Amino acid sequence: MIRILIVLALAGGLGFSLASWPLGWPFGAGPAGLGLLVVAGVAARGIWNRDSTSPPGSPERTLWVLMGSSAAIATHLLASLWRIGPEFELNTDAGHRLGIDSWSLVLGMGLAYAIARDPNPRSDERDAWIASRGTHWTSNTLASLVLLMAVVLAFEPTEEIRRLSRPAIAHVAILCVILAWLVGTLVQLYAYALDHAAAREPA
Amino acid sequence: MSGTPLGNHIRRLRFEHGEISQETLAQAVGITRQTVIALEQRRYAPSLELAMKLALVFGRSVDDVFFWSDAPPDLSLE
Repeated sequence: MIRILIVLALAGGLGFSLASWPLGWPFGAGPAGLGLLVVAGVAARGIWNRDSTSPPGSPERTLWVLMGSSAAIATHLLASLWRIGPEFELNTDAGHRLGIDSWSLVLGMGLAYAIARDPNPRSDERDAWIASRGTHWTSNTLASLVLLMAVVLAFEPTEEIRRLSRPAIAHVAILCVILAWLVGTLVQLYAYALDHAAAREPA
Repeated sequence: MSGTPLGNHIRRLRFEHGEISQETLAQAVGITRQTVIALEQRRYAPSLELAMKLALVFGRSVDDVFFWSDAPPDLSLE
């Protein structure tokens, strides 16, 4: 469990750092984040290949990559939206920068997955059962966030919320989807963490 | 991720069959070692297909491998 929290905190820290990336630096936040996600994928593969006692299975490897990457993407998006403000527009420098950085991070997630994934994928009915628990939590979280968003937009329009542009609302909706997905991956990783803890218990 | 009301004799049967490892059993029935561990610790109830595969690999009936750990529920058709 502690490993999940550490990776979550590191990924969140990465997302926030990228959102406050200095403009004058020779390369942007997106390429930097992409590079760091690739390095994280290489490091994860190295660690898992050396683990002979209780290495993660194929679905768990995928979940680690998805969890770390989506936490970085979500925190980057959240911090960027916060920094830009409610009147965010797409065809502006800030809008273009957010688009490039976000898609670079998505590309980094894909590359990290390709590097760290199990070369010989293997899963069984219990993995499917754990995945169904994750889907359950994802759908419930998404429904809750959408309902919350609807209520806030419709019934509690503070001055800040009234000023929200359509692109800003659209990006908040995307953020809700990523957060729901993140909750699903966390639930699944917790189930696998229980597996590892049980495997370490004496027979 | 709680336990299941079904118990099983998988660990004992493994030892009775030449002390086969969890990994060997997992490969024989097409599951992962983690699932064998979860079954032995009663943290997972297998599908009927997996239960029958496990019984088959030990040469037993499903009833010989799996059992109600408490009194079975009082079920009746009437």
